[in-house]
Amino acid sequence: MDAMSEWVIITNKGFSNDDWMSRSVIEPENILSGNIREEQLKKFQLKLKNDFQVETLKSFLPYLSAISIDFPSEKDGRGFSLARRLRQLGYLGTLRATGHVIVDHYRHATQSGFNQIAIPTKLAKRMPEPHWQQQIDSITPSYQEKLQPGSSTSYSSKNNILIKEKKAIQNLNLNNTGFVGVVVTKITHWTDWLFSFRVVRPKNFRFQSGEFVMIGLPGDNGKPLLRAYSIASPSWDNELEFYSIIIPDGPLTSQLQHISVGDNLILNPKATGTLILDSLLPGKRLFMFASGTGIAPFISLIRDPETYEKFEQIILLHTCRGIKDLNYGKNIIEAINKDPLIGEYADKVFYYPTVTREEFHTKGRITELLKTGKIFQDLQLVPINCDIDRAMICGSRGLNKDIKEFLEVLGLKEGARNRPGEFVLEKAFVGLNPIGLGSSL
Amino acid sequence: MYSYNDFDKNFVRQRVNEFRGQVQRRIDGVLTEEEFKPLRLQNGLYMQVHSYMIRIAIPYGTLSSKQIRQLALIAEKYDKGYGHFTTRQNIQYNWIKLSDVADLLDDLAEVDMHAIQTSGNCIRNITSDHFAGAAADEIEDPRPTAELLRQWSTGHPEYAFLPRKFKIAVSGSPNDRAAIAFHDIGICVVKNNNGETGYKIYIGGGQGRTPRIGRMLSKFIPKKQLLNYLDSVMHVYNRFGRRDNIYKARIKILVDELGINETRRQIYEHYDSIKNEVRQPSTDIAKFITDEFSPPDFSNVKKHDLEKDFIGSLLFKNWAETNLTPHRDPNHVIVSISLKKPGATPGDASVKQMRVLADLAEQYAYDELCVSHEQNIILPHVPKQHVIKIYNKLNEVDLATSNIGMVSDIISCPGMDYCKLATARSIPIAKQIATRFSDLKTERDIGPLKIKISGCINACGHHHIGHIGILGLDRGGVENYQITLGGDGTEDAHIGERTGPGFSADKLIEAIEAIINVYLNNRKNRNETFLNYYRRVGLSPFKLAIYQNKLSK
Repeated sequence: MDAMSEWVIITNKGFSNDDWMSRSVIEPENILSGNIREEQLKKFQLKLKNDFQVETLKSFLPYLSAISIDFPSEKDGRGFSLARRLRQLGYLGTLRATGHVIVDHYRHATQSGFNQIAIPTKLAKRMPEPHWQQQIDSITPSYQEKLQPGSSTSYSSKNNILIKEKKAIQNLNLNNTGFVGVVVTKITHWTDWLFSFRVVRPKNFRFQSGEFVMIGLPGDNGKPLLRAYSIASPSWDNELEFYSIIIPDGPLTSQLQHISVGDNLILNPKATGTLILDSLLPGKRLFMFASGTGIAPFISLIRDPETYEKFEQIILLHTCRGIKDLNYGKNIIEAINKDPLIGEYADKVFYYPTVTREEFHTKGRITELLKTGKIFQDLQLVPINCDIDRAMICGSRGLNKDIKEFLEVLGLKEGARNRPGEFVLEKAFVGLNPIGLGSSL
Repeated sequence: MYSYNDFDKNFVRQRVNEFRGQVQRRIDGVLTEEEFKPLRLQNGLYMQVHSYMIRIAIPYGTLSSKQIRQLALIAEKYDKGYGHFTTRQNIQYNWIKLSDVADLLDDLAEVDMHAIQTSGNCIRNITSDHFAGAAADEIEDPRPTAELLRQWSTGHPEYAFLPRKFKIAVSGSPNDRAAIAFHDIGICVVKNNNGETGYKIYIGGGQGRTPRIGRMLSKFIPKKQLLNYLDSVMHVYNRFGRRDNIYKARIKILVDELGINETRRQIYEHYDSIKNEVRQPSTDIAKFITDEFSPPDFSNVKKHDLEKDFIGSLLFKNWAETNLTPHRDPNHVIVSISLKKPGATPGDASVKQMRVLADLAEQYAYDELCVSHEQNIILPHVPKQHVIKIYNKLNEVDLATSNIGMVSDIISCPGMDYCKLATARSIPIAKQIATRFSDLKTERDIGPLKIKISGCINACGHHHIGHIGILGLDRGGVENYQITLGGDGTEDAHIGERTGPGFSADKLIEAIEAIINVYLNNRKNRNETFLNYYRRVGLSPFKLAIYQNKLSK
């Protein structure tokens, strides 16, 4: 049987061919029996029936990269629940709805956690690509997304509380304060507690990749409520990007999570910070150590071509509590090779994510993984050497202290803006641990 | 009242467009009939005996005058000049052409209404107490909760293709007027020992061919966890509810088969795994919704003595006795308007009547109406001084029937005259019973008595919870009516007991009369209602009366 002609794949880009052809099919029993080594799992595609108890696979999910769920009829919606459950359990790989899925299920499939649909060629003939494309183009935010805390979908009826806040921002008088208003252009919620947002870059505002700036909202007393945020966008970008945690009782982030596109924020247009290329002496490899939202300045540097002019290899080590917390960084790193400006340097970037609170293929604290040498083994790199290696650290107090000690033992010396050294560090302004920093954000 | 914002408006417009596309794709052959059917049903469109029927969602029954005026216009433009208010607080039009449906939906969208999820195997329109916001016995207005659930359940990606339909009702009062024990999920607002407000949850109630009283799932769920909790119930149902047999697919059967303890264990296993991770909804959305239901300002209304208006108008006094309910504010009353004039079809309202209802709400009652699950219309907030004006106006359009809660206030499904599933006529039976007992003296003598009639085993006329329930069946091509006694849809939930063999259509009325006479002749006194009498004596005296006379065949 010619399998090529059997299935048509639908993603948010329309029809495509099956790129899982080279993957052997496995059933859950093959995994549960323990006959396949965990590292091998990513090579397979796992097929699930829609009555399968997916909870039994929980500990294997971090190793899997391709799962398909069967849709036996147009009336049977069990697969949507399985998809949502797999995502809740931490599965980050590709999820495919396979079988009798029709155009009108596209919305349900994508909003339940699928990123691909596979339909028989015969069905695809009856429902050709334009029908699917129309669905793809007409997807709008759902009520369920709107009800999530921190939803970016705002109300707009006249008695709306959120709109009132927005008006207050617009009426704020910034004359003689040195601050400027900046308009929000995009908001993305990565998890219930992590989101990124972009604003228009004010004219004449200059900064170096890796610096931070003060940004915020008007406070209850009418005075600006500003906090330091690293700029996550590179210095050439027309917009400024920021990455924030939501702290439920924090005076700023509890409000900031509700901003919507078109809102005005307040910016103090004076950027500073030590995590800039000029703070480091010349070297060959640049190690970036980050925890939580401390990845932001590195996301800026990694998108700046100048970084690749000064260093031959960039090694980004990012540690978070949960797998989902990695998504923001992961998405950007994975898109580097498609970036017209820095795509050619993609093979210079080494990305090493770790998590501390969930099962993951690299579990544990960075310091441990450094000391045991596991990181270098996994990335197939030689260990750190003070002659060729430079480093930047941005994370929790604990991470900063541990890495600093580790580097100093190896002979690296700390630098600053006016006194370049072999490594620099900065506290992550919007930290990993909301409990530790809660009162100030 | 909740008013639609741009998000809601866009959503409805989107879905109208989507349905237009679906109809087109069905016509073009892109969709098969099997594929189209669930999509058609999720937009409220049924194929009936004579034509298409469309069911319009009225969330928790609440309407503005503008909305009911538009419903009248739709009845005029696309139907035969009337609409049928249902036991699920919705309205149905029975004479719709498929080619008019998209225009009709556009007209609805103009007044922020739609037909989404009024049918199909999804979470249906959320129902609630028809006295919500006005009743004196309320812990809190249940409608903000019902509205939150409307938003959560509307277009939910995971729950659009469930094993079977799913109905949720919310009560804000310990006196249950929303029949929460007869829903897939029943929610009751309660306070715990610390004075915090939360919810008591019942699961697996329902009528149909397997009537069940809802089983207690949780005594107290904190407010902010409601959606996580319901998500867990739905998740378990969607994955493990039966799909092999349509008659065993409701959640009540899953609860029967697993037992309430195992059902609870499975739901909590899911709930415990998500409750700390998913935080919803955000407090300001909840507050925003609650603020939308802020009561009108009652303080400007002057004191008024209704008794004075009774002088010289016995008919008004009689009407006031049955159709008024105390309001939480002493200067207001709740007015129930009966759609059960003896001889008329229960729940039907003409274009003219709907327009009068709109005018009355607008002029005298803070622009608010509510459809009750007993198929009447409620004006929740009426200043006492306006009651007589309302009565006089109602009288002009045949809406001043004084029978709320009485024997002629009958609930009935459309029956075989309209419904494809029905096995017997029900509306003509309702009309006959109502006419037989409707003279004022008899009806007052009988006192509170709820008769409910279903034209088939699916029990849309709620016969299981009628004090007297009537179920029409087909026995070898002849209509046959079974009687149940003692059903109750309130907080003291009971499923009616069957008396025995059924009756033919002409013998049925005599049997009902015999049942009523047993009660009238044997009750302790006038304070002992039919239901209380039945609870005291049970089925046997009634059986004796109706079967000894050989009424049955």
